[in-house]
Amino acid sequence: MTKRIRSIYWALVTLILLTWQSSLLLASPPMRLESLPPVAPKEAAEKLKQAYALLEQGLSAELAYRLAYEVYQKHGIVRAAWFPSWLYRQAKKPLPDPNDRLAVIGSVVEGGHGLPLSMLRRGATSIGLLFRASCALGNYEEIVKWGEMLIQAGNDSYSIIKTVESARLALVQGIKQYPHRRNLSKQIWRPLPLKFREEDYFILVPLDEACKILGLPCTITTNPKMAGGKGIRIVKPYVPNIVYRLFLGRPLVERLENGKGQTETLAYAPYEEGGVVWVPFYWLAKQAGIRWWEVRDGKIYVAPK
Amino acid sequence: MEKGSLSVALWMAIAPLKAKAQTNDPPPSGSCYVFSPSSSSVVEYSRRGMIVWEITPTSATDYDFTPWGLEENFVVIVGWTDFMEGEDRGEFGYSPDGYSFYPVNNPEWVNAYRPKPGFVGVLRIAPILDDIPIGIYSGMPTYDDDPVTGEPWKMTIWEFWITPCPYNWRPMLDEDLSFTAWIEPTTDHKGNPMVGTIIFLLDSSRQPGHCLNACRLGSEGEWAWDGTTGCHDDFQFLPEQLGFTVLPRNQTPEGIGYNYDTAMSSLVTNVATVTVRCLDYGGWTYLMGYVIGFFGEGAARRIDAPDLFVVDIPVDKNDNHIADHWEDLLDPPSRDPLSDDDIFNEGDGRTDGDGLSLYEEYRGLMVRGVWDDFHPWIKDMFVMNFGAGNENPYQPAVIPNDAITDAKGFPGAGMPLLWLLNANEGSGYPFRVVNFLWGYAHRRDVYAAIVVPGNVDDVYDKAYGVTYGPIWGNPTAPIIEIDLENIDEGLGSPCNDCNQPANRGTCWLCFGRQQPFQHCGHCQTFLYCCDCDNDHPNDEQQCGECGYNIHNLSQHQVLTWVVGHELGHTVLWHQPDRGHHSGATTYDCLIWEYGDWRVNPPTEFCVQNPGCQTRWKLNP
Repeated sequence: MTKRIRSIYWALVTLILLTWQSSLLLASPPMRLESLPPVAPKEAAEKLKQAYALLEQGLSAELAYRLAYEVYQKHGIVRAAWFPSWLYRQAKKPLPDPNDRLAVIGSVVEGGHGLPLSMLRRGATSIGLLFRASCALGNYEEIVKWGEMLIQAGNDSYSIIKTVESARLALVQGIKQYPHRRNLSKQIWRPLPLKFREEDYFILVPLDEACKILGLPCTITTNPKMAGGKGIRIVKPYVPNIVYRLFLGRPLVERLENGKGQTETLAYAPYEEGGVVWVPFYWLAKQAGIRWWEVRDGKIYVAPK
Repeated sequence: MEKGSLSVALWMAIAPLKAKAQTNDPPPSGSCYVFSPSSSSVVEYSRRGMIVWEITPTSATDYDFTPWGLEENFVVIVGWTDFMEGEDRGEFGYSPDGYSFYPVNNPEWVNAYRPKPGFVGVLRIAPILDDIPIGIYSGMPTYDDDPVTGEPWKMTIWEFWITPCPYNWRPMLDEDLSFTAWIEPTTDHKGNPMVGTIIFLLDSSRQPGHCLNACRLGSEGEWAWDGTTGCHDDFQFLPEQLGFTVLPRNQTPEGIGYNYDTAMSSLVTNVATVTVRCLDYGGWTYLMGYVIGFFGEGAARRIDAPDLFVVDIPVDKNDNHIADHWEDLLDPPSRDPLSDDDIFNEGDGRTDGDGLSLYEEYRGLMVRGVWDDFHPWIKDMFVMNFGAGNENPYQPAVIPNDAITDAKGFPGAGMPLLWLLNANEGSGYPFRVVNFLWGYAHRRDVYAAIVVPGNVDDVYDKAYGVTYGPIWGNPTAPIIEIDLENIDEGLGSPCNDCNQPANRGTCWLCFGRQQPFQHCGHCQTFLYCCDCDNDHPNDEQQCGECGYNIHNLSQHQVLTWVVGHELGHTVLWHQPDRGHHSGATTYDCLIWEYGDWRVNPPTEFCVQNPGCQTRWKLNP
């Protein structure tokens, strides 16, 4: 019996792989500016923005799915793009329309704003978010459904194809759900005595206070030789040879390991306002080794490391 | 002095002496003058190579005894001499106009002298006279005197020379060239120094900038004479030169001079050396020396080509404004400055060239701050990286330049030569033109591919990179957006949280690869392949191995791969699927569309099946 199941299984795998190979969709697709999905209306775009933030921060995938699905039901496949709010407050001249990709890239090429607008610009599509939310939820049927839709729309990155492929295999085996392990009792979560602000649906915290509370060795110094004008260093706890450098206004992290640097990205760029450096909490929590966190009753709650 | 009065005076002076002459008494020596046909004044200086014209002998008489007493004989011109021997000897003859010259047999017909072409110095010419030994009145024979050489006419044959441009010189920014002009001989027939005012004049090209993509507006931001804007001459005299007054042709409203095209010796001199500064890698100019002296005036003659009075800088015999030395060295497929015949690498075999004309390849452009020219046989392509970071203020690179220049990325064998430029080494958007400071012999604007970090999820979810258009820019610009966030997601992070979507994806991948046990040692089923709860001693280690990136490719490797792939699109845009293809070699071709995290990513474009190396092009 086991032998028979195994033979069926490998036959299916082979079939799926062959199908995938022959479809040859594009993982680095040529841009077809004339056939982009329509831009979402304002209220829909706001929902997509919220769903994006939830997923990027590892927060409620259920809510993210629901928001994206509402948009999909009402508007179909639509896209939205936005800049962080602080950028509008701090920009000295009008910003380009974030949905106008060429204008945004043009600002970078011509140095118009002195900031990497093409990286600060964030965007998503309704079905892209539905797929991501499905992945976060571990729902294989939804993964296949939205993944196939993405692939048909030309979004055929390797990770999408392989994820859909794996989900199909799971379904073939009769498994519909990836097992979640986040069943820790809420009672053992503890609140952090840390003020925060929510902006663009990201939870932002003052860096110096957060570092103290999370036990992260941080330094913030004025340094005009660093992009953003501040030298911000965070040492990885218990790994003193790993240092992170943040740059105000840039969604970048430079990870220095034994002096050798590698650039990583942030979903939300740190910025300074009123003398306070605000950084996304999700990233600090990750560095501090916090596994799960959420916002309840106006407080950030964290699960044990 | 007029001819008639001279001959009468001579006769009166000589007659008493001749009265006593009985034997072999040579006739009184006559002489000659050279007159200016236009002014009837005598000529004492003549430019080398000119015919000494309007030689007019003076009259001469001879007296000898006949049976009737002392009697006048006829004197005739039997020859002419320039007192020189051998190869230096010039030629006497007849010239109707000072330019045509005809040798004559009869010395009486001589009215012109043609010096040897190389002769410079003091010239002496004189008639050779002889008597006819018959008395004019008696018709009786007289003593036959020996011929005698008349008094020579002295004059100076001068020349004004200038040195040429060295053959092996080509225009280089801020390089100086010196040219010397001098007068020969140094002293004239009277012993006076041959000096005059020496003037140098430049007639220069005025190409915009100093190469195809750079322009020096001035020193430290201020206007300067050696700025290289379009209104500047590409060659100018150094404004401050010892012994010269250097004059600008133009000046700013503030009175600052520029276009120094005239240099004049401050004092009269025999020799002057002037310095010319080159201000454009593709410039050309014509230099002329001119002298004004008591001996005459005229343009300097090239010492290397005496028929020429202009120094062409650089040496450019085919007059295409490209230095002959560069052309001879590289021997381009065509010497037409507008040609664009680069052949290597071949590409699709139907589209030669890279968009830069021969002249533009020669003029060159700045490549990351250093000027370079380009080989006219090799197809060149340009790219700019807007994710390279900054030094001051410091911003780390999102797309390190190394990822673009890495030998394992674009171009690889059989593809065009790729040049990485700085952001300011092009102009315009979305078409970033690299030869934007074009002037002479321009075919078309050539674009650099723009590589920029961005976020592509609102169009192609999770894609690593997106290309907008072909390198030839039609219909859309060659822009490449690289999504580092998506790449990093693919690279994965340490597997310390199974509920991170990326980590979970990596576990699925293990399964998809049919290697659940090999790569995810703890994976009893794919459901638990990323079990990181430390309920097993090997969890962390096993999870670490369990990702898309099972071969632990570095970010640099992946970026090199992705950027190389996207650059491939820009030159394969005209092919089906913008270059993506199937076929036996697909998997090992850089245009293969999946970043599949294999241990050895592709580093070349395929040779066959279908053969991307023979499918690309740079020109429309």
